[in-house]
Amino acid sequence: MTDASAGTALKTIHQKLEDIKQQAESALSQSNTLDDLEKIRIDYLGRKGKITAVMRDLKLLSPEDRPVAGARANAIQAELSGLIEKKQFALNKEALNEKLQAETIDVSMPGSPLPLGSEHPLVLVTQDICTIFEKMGFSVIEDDFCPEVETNYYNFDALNFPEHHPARDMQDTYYTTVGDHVLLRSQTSNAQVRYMEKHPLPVQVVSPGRVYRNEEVNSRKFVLFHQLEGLLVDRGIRFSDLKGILHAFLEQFFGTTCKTRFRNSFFPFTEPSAEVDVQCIFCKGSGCSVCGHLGWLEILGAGMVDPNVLQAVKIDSDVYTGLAFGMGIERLAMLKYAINDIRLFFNNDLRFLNQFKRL
Amino acid sequence: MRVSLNWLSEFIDGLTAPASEITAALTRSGLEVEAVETIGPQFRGVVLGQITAIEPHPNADKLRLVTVNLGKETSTVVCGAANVRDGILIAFATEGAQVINSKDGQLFTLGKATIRGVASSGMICALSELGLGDRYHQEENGIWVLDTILDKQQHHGALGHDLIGVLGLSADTILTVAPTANRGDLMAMIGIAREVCALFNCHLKPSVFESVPEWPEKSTLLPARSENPANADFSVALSSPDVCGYYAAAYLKNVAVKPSPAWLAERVTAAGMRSINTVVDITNYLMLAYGQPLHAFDADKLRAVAASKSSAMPVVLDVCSGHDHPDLLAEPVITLDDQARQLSADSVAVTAAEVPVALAGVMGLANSEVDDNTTAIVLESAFFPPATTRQSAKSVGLRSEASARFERGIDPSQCKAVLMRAIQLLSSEADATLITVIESSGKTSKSQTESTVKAQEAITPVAMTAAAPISLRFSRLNAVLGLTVPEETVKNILSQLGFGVSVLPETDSDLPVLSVTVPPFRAQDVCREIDLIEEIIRIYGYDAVPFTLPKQTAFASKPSLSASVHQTIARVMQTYGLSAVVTPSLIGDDLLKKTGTTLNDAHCVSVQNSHSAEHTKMRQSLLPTLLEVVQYNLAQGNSSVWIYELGRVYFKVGKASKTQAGVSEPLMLAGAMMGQAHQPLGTKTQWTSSQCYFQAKGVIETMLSRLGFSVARCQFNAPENPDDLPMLHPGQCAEIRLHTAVPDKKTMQHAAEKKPYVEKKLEKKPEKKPVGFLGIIHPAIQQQLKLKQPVAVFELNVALLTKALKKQLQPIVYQPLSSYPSVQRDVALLAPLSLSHQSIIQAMSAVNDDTLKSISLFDEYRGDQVAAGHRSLAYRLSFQSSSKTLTDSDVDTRLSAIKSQLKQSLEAQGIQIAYR
Repeated sequence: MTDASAGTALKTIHQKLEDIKQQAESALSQSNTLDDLEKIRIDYLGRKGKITAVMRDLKLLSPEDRPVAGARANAIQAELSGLIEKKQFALNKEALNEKLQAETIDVSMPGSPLPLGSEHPLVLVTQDICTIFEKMGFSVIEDDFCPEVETNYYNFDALNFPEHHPARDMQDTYYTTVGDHVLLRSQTSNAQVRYMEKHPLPVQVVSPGRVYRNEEVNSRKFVLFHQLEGLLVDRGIRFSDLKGILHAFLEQFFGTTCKTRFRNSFFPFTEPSAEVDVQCIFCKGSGCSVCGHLGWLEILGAGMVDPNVLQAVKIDSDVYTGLAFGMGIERLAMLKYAINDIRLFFNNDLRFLNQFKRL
Repeated sequence: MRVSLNWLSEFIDGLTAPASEITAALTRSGLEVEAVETIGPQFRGVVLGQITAIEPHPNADKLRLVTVNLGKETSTVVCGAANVRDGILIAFATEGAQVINSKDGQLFTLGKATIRGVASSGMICALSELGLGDRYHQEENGIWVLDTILDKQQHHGALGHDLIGVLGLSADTILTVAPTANRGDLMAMIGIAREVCALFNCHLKPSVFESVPEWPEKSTLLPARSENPANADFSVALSSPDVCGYYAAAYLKNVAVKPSPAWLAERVTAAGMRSINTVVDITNYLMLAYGQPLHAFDADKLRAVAASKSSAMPVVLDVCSGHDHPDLLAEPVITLDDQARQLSADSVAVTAAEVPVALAGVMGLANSEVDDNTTAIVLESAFFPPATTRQSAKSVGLRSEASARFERGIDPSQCKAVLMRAIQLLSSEADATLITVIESSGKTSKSQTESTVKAQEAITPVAMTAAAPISLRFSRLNAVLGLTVPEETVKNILSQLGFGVSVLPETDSDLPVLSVTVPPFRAQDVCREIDLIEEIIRIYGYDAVPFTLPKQTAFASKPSLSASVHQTIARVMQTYGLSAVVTPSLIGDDLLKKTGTTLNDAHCVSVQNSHSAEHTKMRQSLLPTLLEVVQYNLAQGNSSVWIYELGRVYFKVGKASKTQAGVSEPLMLAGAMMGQAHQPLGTKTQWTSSQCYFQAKGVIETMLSRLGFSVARCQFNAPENPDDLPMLHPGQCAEIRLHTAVPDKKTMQHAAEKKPYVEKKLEKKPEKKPVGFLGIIHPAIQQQLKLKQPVAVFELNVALLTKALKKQLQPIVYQPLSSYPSVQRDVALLAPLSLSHQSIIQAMSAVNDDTLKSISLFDEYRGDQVAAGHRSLAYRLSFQSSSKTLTDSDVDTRLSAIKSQLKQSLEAQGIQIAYR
C-alpha cells in the first residue's frame, strides 16, 4: 500500500464518518419519538451500527492512521451519543409533560373518605369526669364491685335506708323475679359498701355505671341512666374537703370559674347531706328556661358518709370519716352540650353521635 | 306542701323578711322551695269611683265620655262599654296603674291615651282586667259594676280609695315546699315556722295549745253519761299495740256540718285543699297546722255498723292488723274515695265492734263517712307508727295526706292537745257539744267517763318515751365540718330548733361538750351526734364552710386491664368507622320478636313492676337493641350504619342469697355494620353479603390483634351447632375462639430482666368456649326488619377476652430484627370445599418450624377449571432465620416437610388434597 493510497484511505474513512454524522444529525432532527431515537441509536451506535462498521474498517488503515481515525470515530460516536441523549431528554420531558397534563385532576373533588366512628357523648363525659377525679387521686373502680342487678342489702339496707321508710320511695325501684329482695340498682352507691368490704382504708374511688328507675319516659327521664359515685374515706376527712373537691371538679368540668351553691338535703347514707347547684351556665344566674328561672342548676348530691354505713363495714366512725357524692352523667352531658332531650342518648341517631367527634 | 306566708306569720313573732329571702334560706337549709306563687290581687293603682255624667263622644258613635267622681277630684275618660250607667260604682284605674291585659293575661301599666281625638286619662275596669273573675261574679259583659257588693251610701266616703283596701282583699305568697323523707315535722306549718325562726333569729308566738282546755275531768262532762259506763257509747281497746301507739277520740253531738267560715276556708284552700264543711275543714286545718292527722267518724253510722255485729255497749273501737285478725280480710272495704279495696295481712284497720271503719292513718271508710246529715261525730287523734302505716298504705295501694305524715313520723306528744283544739274549734265554729273523750295506749283502755279513772292520769304513747340526751363534742363538730362554729351560735341554733341544751360540766376534752335533748317532734330523725352536727351546719349555713382539699394526697392507681381493653376496643372500632352507641339494657318482648331473637328463660332476669311493656327483661345480647338502632337510623335517612356498643348482658346463674343476686353481668362488645363505609365515585354496586362479612371479620381481626391475639391465634369456624345462632345466615356465620398463648417461665424471666430472648413457639391452646360470634343477619330477619342491605353483626364477650389476655400478659421487650433475608415460597393446592382455610392454616402451623414466619392466602379459585365440589387455594409462605441466610435448599427442605405434614394430617382426618 502506497502512502498516497494510505492517505486516501484515511480521507475516505473521515469522509465516511462525516457522512454518517450528517446523516445521523439529519435523522435526529427529523425524529420525534423515543422509538425513532432508539432506532437511530441502534442504526448508528449499535453493535451492528454504522459507526461500528466504520470502526471495523480501521484495521485497513496504516498503524499511524488508525489512532487518528479511531479518535475521530470515537469523537463522532460521543457527539452522536450526546445528541441522542439530549434529544431523548427533550422528548422525555415532552412526554412527561404530556403525561402530567393528561393526568391532571380536579383537586377539589372529594377525597376518598376513611370515615371515623364517633364516641358516644355519655362515654365522653364519663371519661372527662373520671380524668378529673383521677388527677385528684381517685381511682376508677372495676366493674366487679358494681353489679346492676343488686340485692336490697347493698342498694338500701347497708346504705342506712331503714326498712319501711319513705326514703325508699325516693327512687322508683324496679324489683326482679329473681327474688323479692333482688332489684335493679337505683343508684351507684351500692359500690360504696361493696368496695369498702374488700379494700383496706384509705379508699378514694369513683365508680361510673348504669342505674334504673321505674319512671314514665319523657324528655327528662328515662327508665335507666348513668351515674358516677365518688367515695373518700380516711382519717380527718372534713365537710370542707367535700366542698373543695366538688368545687374543683365543677370548675374543671365546665371549664370556667363557675359559682357553686351547697344546700342541705337528705340522703340516708350521708350526714350531713348536700345538694350541689351550679349557677346556670346558660344565663349566668339571671334566670332562663333551662334553669326554670331559678338561676341555679341542680348538679349532684353529696355528703359525709353516714356513720351507720361505715359501721356496716366495720369501720370505726369515730376515727375515720368519709365523703361521698353522686352525679347524673346524662344531666352533666345535657348541660355540657346543651342537649334538651334525654332520649337522644338512647336513640343513637348517627347525625347526633357524629357531633361528638373531637380530639 | 303549700305554705301560706300569711298563715306562717301567725306562728312567728316579728318576721319581717321578704318572701324571696325566706325562700332562699329554706332552700339552703334543706327545705327545697319548688315554686313561689303570689295569690290575691295583682293590680295596683285602682280606686273606687262613681259615674256622675255620661256624654256622647264627638267623633265616635259607640264611645262615650264618662265623668267619674273620685272623691277629691273627678276625671273624664272615654269608655266603650255598653253597660255604663249613671250613678254606678266602678273600679277606676288611674294613670300609671297596673292592670291585666285581658288578651294575654299579662300585667301592663296604664298610660295617657287619646282615643279618637279626645284625651283620656284612666280607665274603667272590667273584672277580668283586675283578675278577680274567680272571686266575684257578674252576669253582664263590660265594666264591673260594684253596686251588687257595695252600698252607695255607706261607701261614699271611700270614693277615690284604693280598691284593695275597700274590698278587703289580701295578698298572700304561697311557697310549694318538698320536705325530705326524714322530716315529718316539716309537714306542718308549726315545723316550718320553727325552721324560719332558727334561720331568721325570731321566736315562735305562744302556742295556741296554751289556751286549749285541759283534758276534761269527769265533772266537766255531761253528768248523766258520766256515771254509767254502759251509756258511754264508745270505748277504745287496742288489741295490736304494734300498729297503734296511742289512740284518743272525742265523742261530740249537735255538730253543725255546714260551709266553713271564710278564715277557715281561706287557710285550707291556700294549702291546696278543697273547703268541704266545718268538720272536714277543721280536721284538715289542724293537720296542716300541727301535722297531726285527725279523722272524724259519723257516730251514728259507727253505732249502726257495730250493731250489725254485736249489740254490746259501749261500742268498742280497736286498731287491728290483718296479721292478728285474718277475719278482716274476708271482704273488700269501700274507702272514702269510693274505691273497693281488698285488705291484706299488712293492712291495719280501725274497727268498731270488729267491723272495719277506717284504714288506720290512711283513709276512712264509706260506712262511717261524715255527710251533711251528720249530727254526732267521733273524732280520732292517734299515733300510728311509721313502718306499719307505710306497709298498710302500700297493702291497699293508697297514699293520703294522713299516711304521708304517719309514714314520716308525727309527734305523738301532741295527739291529745290537737284533739282538744279540735273540740274547741268544733264548739266555736260548728256548735258541737263534747260528750266524752276516750284514750288508750294499748295497755289499758281508759274512758274519762269511767268513774274508776282519774282524769289527769297520764297515758304515755309507746313512742313517746323520751330518748337519752345526746352528747355533742365541739371537737367533733369542728373536725367533721372543717370550721369552728362559736359556742353561743350552736346553743342558739339548737334551742331555736326546739332542742334542750346544757353544757356538760366535766369532760376530757379541752373544748366544751353539750348535752342535748331532742324534742319529740324531731325524735324520728335526730338521734346521734352527727345528726346534731347537720342541724347546726344547715342553719349556720353551708356557705360558711370553706373550700379545702384533703390533707393527705393519693395517687390514682393505673387503669385496670379491663379499662385498657375497653379503651383499645373503642379506639379500634372508631378508627374503622364504627360509632359508639348506648342502648337500653331493659327491653321488652316486642323488640325480641321483631329481631327474631329469644331469651334463655331459665337465665332471664325479669322485672316485676315495670310501668311499660317495653321495659320488662334484662337483655342477654346487645344485638336486638343494636338492630333497632340500625333500623331507626335508616328511618332517619342515614344510609350506612356502622355501630358498636360496649355493654353488659345479664344472666341468672345461681341462687340469690341475702347479699348476692346470683346474676352474672359480663361486658360484651357487639357491632352491626350495614352498607359500605364509603362508596368510591362511579361505583354503584352494593356490597354482597360475603363482602360485608369479610369487612366485619377484618375489623374484628384487627381489634383482636391490637389486643394481643394475632390473626393466627384467632379461630373463626362455622358454628358447631348453627341452631345456637338462629338470627344469622347459616352459611355466613362463625364462632370465634382464641388460642391463648401462655408464656413459659423462661420467657417471663427474660422479660423481667429486660433481656432480648429468642421467641419460642408459645404453647397454644384453643379455648373450648367461643368468645363470640360473627355473621350476616338471616335474610328472613333482614326482610322482617325491612332492611334493604345485608347487615354484618358480631358479639364478643369482653370479660372472657380480658381473662384470656390476663393469662398471657407479658411486658414488651424489644426483639432484635433479623439481619438475614426472608424467602418466599408459594403452595397451591386443590381441596374440597368443606375443608376450611382455618384448618389448612392450623395444620401447616402445626409443623414445628421456627423459621416459618407467616402463611398468607393470596388466591382462591372456584369454577370450571377445578373439579366440582373443590376449590384451588394458593398460599405464600415466608421463611426467615434469625441466625443465618436460608439457602434455597434449606427452604425447599422445610417446604416439603410442611407440605407432606399437611397432606398427612388432613388425610388422617379423611380429607384428600392435591398440590398443583
